[in-house]
Amino acid sequence: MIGRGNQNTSGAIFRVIILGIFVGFGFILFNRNANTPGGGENTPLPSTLEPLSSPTAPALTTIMPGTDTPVALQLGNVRLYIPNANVVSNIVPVFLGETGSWNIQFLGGNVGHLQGTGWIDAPGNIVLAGHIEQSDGTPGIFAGLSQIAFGDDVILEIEGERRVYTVSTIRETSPQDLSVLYPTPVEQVTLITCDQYDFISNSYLARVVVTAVRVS
Amino acid sequence: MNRRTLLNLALLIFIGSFLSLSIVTPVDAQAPNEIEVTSDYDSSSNPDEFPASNNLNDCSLREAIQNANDNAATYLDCAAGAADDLIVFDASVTTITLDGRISVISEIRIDGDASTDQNYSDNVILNGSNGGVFVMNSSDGDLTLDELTIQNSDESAILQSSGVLTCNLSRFQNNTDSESGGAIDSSGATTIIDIDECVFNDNSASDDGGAIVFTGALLTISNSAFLNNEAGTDTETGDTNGGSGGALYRGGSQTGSTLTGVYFSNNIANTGADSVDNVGGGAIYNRTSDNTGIGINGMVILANSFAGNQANGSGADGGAIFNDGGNMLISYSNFGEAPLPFTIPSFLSAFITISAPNTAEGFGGAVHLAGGALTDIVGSSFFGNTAFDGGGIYVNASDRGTGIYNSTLNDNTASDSGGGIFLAGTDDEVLIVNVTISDNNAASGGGISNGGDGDSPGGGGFVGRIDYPESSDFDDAIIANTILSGNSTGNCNGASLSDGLGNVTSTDACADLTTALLGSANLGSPELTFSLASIITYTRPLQAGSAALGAGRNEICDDLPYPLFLDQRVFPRPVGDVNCDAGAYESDLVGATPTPTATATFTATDTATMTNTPTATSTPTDTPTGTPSGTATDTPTGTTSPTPSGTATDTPTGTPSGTATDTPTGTTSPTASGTATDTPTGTTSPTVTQTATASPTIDPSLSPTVTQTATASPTIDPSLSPTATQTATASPTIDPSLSPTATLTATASPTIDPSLSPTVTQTPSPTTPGSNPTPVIVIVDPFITKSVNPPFAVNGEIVTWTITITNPGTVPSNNVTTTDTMPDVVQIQSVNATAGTINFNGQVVTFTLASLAPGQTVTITIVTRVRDDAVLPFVVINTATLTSSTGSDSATATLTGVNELPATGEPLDFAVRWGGVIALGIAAFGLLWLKRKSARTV
Repeated sequence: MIGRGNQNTSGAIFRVIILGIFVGFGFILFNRNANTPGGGENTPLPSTLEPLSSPTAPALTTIMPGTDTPVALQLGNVRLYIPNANVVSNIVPVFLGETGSWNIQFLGGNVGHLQGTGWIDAPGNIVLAGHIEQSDGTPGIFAGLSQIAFGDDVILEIEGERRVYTVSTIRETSPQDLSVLYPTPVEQVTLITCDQYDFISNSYLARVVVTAVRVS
Repeated sequence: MNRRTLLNLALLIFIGSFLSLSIVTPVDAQAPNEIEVTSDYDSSSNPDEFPASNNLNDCSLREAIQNANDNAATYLDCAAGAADDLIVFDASVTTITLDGRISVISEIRIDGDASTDQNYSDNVILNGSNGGVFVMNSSDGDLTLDELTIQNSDESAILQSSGVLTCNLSRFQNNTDSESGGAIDSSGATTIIDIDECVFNDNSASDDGGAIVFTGALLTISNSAFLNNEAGTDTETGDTNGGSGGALYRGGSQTGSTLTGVYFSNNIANTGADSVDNVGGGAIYNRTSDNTGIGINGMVILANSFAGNQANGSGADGGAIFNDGGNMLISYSNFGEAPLPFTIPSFLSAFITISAPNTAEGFGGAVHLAGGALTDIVGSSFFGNTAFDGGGIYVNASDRGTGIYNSTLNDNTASDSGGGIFLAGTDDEVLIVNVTISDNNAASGGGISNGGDGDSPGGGGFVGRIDYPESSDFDDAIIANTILSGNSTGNCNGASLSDGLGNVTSTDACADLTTALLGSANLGSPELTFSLASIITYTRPLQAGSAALGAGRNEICDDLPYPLFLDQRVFPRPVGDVNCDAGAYESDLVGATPTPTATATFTATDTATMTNTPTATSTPTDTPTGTPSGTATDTPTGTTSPTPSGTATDTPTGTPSGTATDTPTGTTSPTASGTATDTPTGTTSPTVTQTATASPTIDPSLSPTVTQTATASPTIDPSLSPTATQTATASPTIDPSLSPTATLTATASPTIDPSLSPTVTQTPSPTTPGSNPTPVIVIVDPFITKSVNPPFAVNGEIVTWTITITNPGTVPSNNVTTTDTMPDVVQIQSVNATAGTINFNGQVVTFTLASLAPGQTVTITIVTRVRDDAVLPFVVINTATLTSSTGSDSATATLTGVNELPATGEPLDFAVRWGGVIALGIAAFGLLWLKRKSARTV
């Protein structure tokens, strides 16, 4: 039998424990939500693209190949706009780095154009990468990529002029699948972000790959 | 609920949640579970041949798959199955005849050859002659076929209603079905098929889809071949459905299909004697119910080749493709005869010939568009295809809008109308831009035949940046920047076509193209394009003097949905002329006449002066004045009377004619812009004085000081007064008073030569193709191209470099030598050339050939392997150089070495990663403490 006094004390402790469980779960769920593409709160999008103000547009600090010196680089007035994935971002160059892949250490909230892949207004594969989440658990620029659907518009704006691409494939692949980088005979945009967070290794085991072909 | 129960529940929740966080199944992180098939035995009723033996030497394919499905050792003859299984074969197992289909409900890969040699002859063979081979009806059943040959099935070899089917380096041959899909019958809302480097040959179906019928979700085919497949083998009377899609029938509502680098050769769709309309598609029949845009929920065809496909039977349409209402993008593909030899991918070389026309007994020898199909055709070639109407393309897709861009239709034949293109629908709204339509044949309308209503006016709208007024007829077709040349009988016939400007037609004009430039298109022989390694199309180059040079409109060719600033070969345009050329081929030759468009701007920066003396016989517009002097000395003889004497004063009438042909020579660089307007004025004092009675005999080209004596008495005009003096009119065209630096009409502009350097600056400069390194190839004589596959690689990966050397000229190129020093990050495995001598020493590859014939192409293949110790990442730009007796050239290819895609998920900070777990840990500790305490209390 449980005495009343003990019952009151135990009840208080029990409530604290239950509160702790809820706090713990809430904390985890919050972070998992943040880690899930599209899990973040939608931000209102501009109905039309505002012209980039090049003098004040944020530049990217990155490492030029063969050097150790951070330099500020930015592709001239280029911006990515994906209405259905809440993406409005500058595009910055991403060079190959010491990790055996592209150095995205300083990518931050920008979208990066991978060195050696195609570029606008020519047949080829324009490969753009963006984080799914930041290290502090907040959504990355491509957190909403899973919301994208076949037929959605992907817009690249350069010097105020838009190029419109239409989403044609959405798939998940392994990080070692380099075929997504291969050149294509028509102009295409390939968007890459991470998926399948592994708690143990604190890394992501898969990549989400979205392709969109130029329509105008 | 008592406290103990509650505590236990809370503890379970915590442990479960912790485990769910901690245990994450990695993607492709583990090697698959391997099961080896050691027996060729198969029985659907008794899968275990020797139930009592449980001997691993008796493992049959059916047992192996059952274990894989069960994730267990259901049959002890085989290794136990797991979540992800790889089934391989002992070398003794070469052929298995199956006793009915095997069900796949798990993730299974079957590898029929340990090597990846692209040699189909050493694949393990699965005979499906007793009811097919596999059935996939589970969403968990993903089947991958590696290097297997599946043959002789008497029903669809694979019946798929769910899951993902992947085919690599495998072959389906001689499978048949009494309904549809001899090799694969795939249906269901979620089915996915991914095919790469597979061959489908000699499969057949009584109805649709000789090889594949697909009504599933997503179909991807790349680097594969469909040969000699046949649909509609049951064509008896009463079978009004016929058979469509000799190789592939695609229907249903889907999320999209993509076919890249696929060869369709000699596939047949038989429609039967009494079949209904809208059947055919010798290679592909495409019909989907969801049309939301080009390439979306539709079919994308990239760099495919279609040859010798047939739509047979009454009303059979679309010799290669029948697109019935689906959305389709056909880009950089070839339909029909291949006029020049080219290299076939090695994995197909044993199977395929791709030089033959596609034919349809009905409409559309190559492509038939019907039923509201929304189709764009870009950068493709149609050579030698035949049909009743529309030897190349037949369009009957009212109000949907078909676009044909940067393509060539040549030597196609219609026994009735529309050798190149037939427009059948009312208001097809077809846009034909930068297309070369040449030497096609038909009883009427060899180039384009318009069977539409031709009503006018229709609605206006934009073509490129040109806004056509509301009165423009956009209903049937609008044609712009297009060549119609040499088509018989007639370039155009039928209802009116809309003139989108910038067109060139040969002297057999299209009546509706009122602004078309008449003249010889002067097309060269068909030319193979090498713009990208995997793209095989043909076009007709422009020759010197072609009326199409610079005849196009930049406002059109630089602003359309597809990159018309690159021509069919993916060369930049415009070059040579200010404006782009008409047709699919952009030449660097300069047109014979300037194109005075408002947008063209020239700036000549040199100041050289003209030193030549014009000798033009340009047309004068003034009437010379002054008094001729001199005395005619002619004394006509003969019987003509009266005999003229004295001085003739006759003033000639009429208008001298002739065309100014003077071409200034020397170092002239005209500073003029626009059109020179020199008109000889009346200051000429013709000193030619002729005393003659026969004005027609006075030669206007005589120099001013020549005194001519007329001797042709029959031409003496008896009506002339004997005292008449005639003033010559020829000399005014030569104005000796003109300054040598004068601005001349017409003769100035041809001297605007963009090739002049460095004194001439041309604005705008030729378009550059952007940063992509592959599309642009500079043609020299001969020329070389180079590519690398794959362009991104990891350590140990095989990388193949392909070099082509072509002599596009008309004379042999001798002493051809190519040298290529491979980068240190790769190790050469083998070298090969289709002609000549090739060897390598260290990293240097050397190729020699005594003589390269006109039109000949030699392909060099260098197989390398990325060294295991190559430090990633790396970027190497490798150059191959070519020298010969007729010229030299070089080409580069870029290889990038990386180990993986960028890690686009940052590692979580410690607090973020562990915060929740620590909180739960504290809670768990408290729970355990409470549980222990309560237990003691109780």
